[in-house]
Amino acid sequence: MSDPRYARQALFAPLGQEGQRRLSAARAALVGCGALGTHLAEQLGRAGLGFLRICDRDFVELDNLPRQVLFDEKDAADRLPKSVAAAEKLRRINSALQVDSRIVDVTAANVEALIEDVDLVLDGTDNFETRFLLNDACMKLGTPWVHGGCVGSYGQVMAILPGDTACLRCWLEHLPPPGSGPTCDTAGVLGPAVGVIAALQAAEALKILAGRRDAVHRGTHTIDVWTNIHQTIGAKRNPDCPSCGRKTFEFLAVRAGSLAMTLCGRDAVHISPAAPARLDLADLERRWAALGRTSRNPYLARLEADGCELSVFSDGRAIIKGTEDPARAKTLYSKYVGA
Amino acid sequence: MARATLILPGMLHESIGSGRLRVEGRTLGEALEDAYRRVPALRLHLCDEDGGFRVHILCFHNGERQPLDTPLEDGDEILILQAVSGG
Repeated sequence: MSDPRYARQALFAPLGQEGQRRLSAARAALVGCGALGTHLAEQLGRAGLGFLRICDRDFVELDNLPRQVLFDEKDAADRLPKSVAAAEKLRRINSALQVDSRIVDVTAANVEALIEDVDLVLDGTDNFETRFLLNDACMKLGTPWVHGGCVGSYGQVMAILPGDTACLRCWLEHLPPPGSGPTCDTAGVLGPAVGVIAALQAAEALKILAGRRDAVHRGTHTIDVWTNIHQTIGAKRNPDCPSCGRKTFEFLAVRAGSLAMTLCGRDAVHISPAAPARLDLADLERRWAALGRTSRNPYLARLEADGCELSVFSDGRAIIKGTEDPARAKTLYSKYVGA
Repeated sequence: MARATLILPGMLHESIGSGRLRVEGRTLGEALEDAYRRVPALRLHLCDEDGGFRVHILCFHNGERQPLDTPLEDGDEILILQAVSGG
């Protein structure tokens, strides 16, 4: 018997009662519960998804609230973990949704265990290193995933069906080195841009989970909500792709990822990026100018922000003082250095 | 010499001053060099120190990834996309 709660959605013929039934039995994992992640969780939770595992390593802060739609001022005051705060809101929105909240830094060591029992993985991360890891894990396990990324007024979306469509590494072959591109914390981000990108991700997710893979867009969408440019472009599979082609899965090998190591007794964490970088320290300091006190010498650039001091070397290494938590240090590195 | 349109990602409009450039060349590579001559700052945004595209910059010629020696025809479209990491 049909559930009247979802009548309007099931009335949409390409989804129908059968699609709705499949959605209610479906299991998804969300990796990263920030701006994209909270939109994704809310849209799929309201749509009647059966099970959602939320994986995030961060806690809620006041400056998250303009974009991260599941959080409020009390969550920030309480510094609640994002996966916990999101799960509480989702349970109030839809009590039939099973939510599994995990306070976790998704790494090569745990990624397969976190996604092996789901039908789909949703990308809510803020860095390419984790996305390359997700891509390898999904290609290895044969699990579809929906990539999204957003900075400023612009973002991209790509649905990936293993063995069928191009994967992330067919499209973006190499891991962008740290500091090579803008991040939300250096170039800013608009809430409506995040909303549009997450909505496109959610639409692709609905198609996959409702059993309508025929309707999935095979390629990438890019949208800029400020310049009003929308591009859709096909993406071809690369037979020599290291992930979906040759299946070498180098990001699943722990050594391929960046390393975060606590420096004993120094209240600091050392970060080594996955790929060596040659940072332009003057450019890095210029991008940081509005974010906190900065300084620079020929060897490193320094930023005081979020209660910590980031010292970033030109080869991409960083020492983050003021924390002994590797997950928090990696979050700060992603925010202020990027990739 | 063929005439093509180079379409840039919105994030570069502020610094470049335009989202589209008319470019000329016999090949894709020559058309890009023409764009760099017209707007020198573009090379800094798109290319690394070795002169190749930065890792997060993707170039499509009439919707396909093509080598830089691909011949150009009048009316071709060269699309630059920028993969962004935020979320």
